[in-house]
Amino acid sequence: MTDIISVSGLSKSYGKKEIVHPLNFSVKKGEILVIIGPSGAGKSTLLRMLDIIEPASKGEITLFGEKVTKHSAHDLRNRMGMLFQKTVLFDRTVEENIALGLSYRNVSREERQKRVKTILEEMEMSEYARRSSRTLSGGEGQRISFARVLVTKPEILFLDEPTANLDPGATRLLEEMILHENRVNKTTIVITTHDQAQGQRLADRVAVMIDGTFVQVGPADEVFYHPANESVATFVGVQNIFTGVVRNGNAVFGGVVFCPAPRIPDGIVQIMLRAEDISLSKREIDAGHISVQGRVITSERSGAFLHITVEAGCIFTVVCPFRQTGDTYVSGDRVWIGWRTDAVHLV
Amino acid sequence: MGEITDGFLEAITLIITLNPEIMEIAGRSLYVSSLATIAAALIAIPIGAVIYYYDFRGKRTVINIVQTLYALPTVIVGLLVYLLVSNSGPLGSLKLLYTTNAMIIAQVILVSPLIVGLVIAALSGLDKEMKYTTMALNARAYRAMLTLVRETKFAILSAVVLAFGRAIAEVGAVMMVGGNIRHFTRTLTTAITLNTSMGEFSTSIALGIILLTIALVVNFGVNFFQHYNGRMKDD
Repeated sequence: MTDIISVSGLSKSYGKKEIVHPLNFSVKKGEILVIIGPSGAGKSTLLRMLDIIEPASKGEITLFGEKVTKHSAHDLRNRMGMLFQKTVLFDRTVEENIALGLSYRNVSREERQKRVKTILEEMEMSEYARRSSRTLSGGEGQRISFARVLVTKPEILFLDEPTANLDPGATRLLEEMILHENRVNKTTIVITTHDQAQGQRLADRVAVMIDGTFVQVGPADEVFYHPANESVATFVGVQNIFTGVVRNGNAVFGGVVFCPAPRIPDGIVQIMLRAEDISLSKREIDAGHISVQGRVITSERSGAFLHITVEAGCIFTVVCPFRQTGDTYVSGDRVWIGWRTDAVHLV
Repeated sequence: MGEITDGFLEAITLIITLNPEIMEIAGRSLYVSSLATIAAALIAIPIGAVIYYYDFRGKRTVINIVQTLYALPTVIVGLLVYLLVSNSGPLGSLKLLYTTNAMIIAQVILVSPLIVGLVIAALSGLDKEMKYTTMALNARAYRAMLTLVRETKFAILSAVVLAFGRAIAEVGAVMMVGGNIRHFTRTLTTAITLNTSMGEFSTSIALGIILLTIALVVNFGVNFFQHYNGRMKDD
């Protein structure tokens, strides 16, 4: 597949502050690239530069094989669409809102009406056509905004935290629409989110953006299970991160042997272990696991899950489904925790 | 006290009987200030939109200057237009001095900055994403500006009404370039000035009541319009 977006040395500064450090990356046709990262990492600025809404300070963007210049911007933008975190609806009816991009493209009135009608039917929102945009809920409003973009038949979609202000139901619905658009129309999608789980649900590839730079780019599983460094690990929700050592072919911290590390030379190592990958029991855990005994420090319910911290040489955070634990755990209980050696990630 | 009461009663009589001279003066005031406001709006709304829409060096300074011009003294505008249209001025050959056209020009200059400034303020009140959305939908700049102006139509309408209020209430500029000539360039404000200085309080009060009434009617009209607004189309 060919690169539909390709970026080299792209950066953005406001005054003397560089918000986006020089970036090089490319996106293949039909791919979904999810850019995850904390707020203020420069994700939105990057997306606006890619959609040619904001000029880059330095570097080059190539879209559809054509270099972005002042001259080519208008024609290139015609083939793209962008949706923002904040729902933007103009004070008109729903159908007028959806038709706006078509009207800017000087599409004839009949054609506009036809396409608006079709997309509302596809979204099962036909009855909304003549309603004022002011009467819509947050989720409905964002779907109409999305329809306004889709109706222009974009080949690339930039979605800037599109579900950040939506409830879980509305988020799910919009995610389905995003995936549908990608699968059916082969639309290339670049989406930003601070929700790592959403990244996993949508991504062909994930880019982790922290402090204006891509810290790690790769398939979702690689980023989630093999984070490149501590800041990525923290962001993707790895709760147990220890600075330990490799000694005699084992990764060790706080007197606990985490896993064998035969190929790593002796020295300092970051040991990462997801809280969800640790099992918890009042009895010793089966063979095949590393298993250590410890004492419960805190135990807290969070929805269907139990968040427990255990002191066993060092402090572990353990998350397990409440119903499956079988036992109750209170502070001071003697417990066993265990994990598969391949669940440990060393950096 | 008696003088004021008498003046007030007489004023009511002048209005109820539709005194021809008073009606003529009121009509001229409305004509001059309406035309001036419409012309100012046609010039100032696009200028405000352009200043808002584009990012350029010195934008902040331009906005500061515009806001300073809100308080432009009317006599300065009068002087400026006088110099422009007087026989020896650059527009002298047009013979505009002491005509209603000169008064209109003066009022356009007077109220345009107010509309420009308030249009910028109204547009700046919109979410930044709204401008981004018009750009992302690939609107040409003028279409984007039309959409955004339409989105702030009530605020802009209020700005225009405010401008009309300033235009019809000012006296300095129209006095200087119009000359307060009876049956030609006399307006409500210049007539009030003249009649008060001559001790004709009843006429002054009558004209004052009319001036206030015009302001009230315009405001009610705008409120009505805002409420039952038919949509302005830009596409």
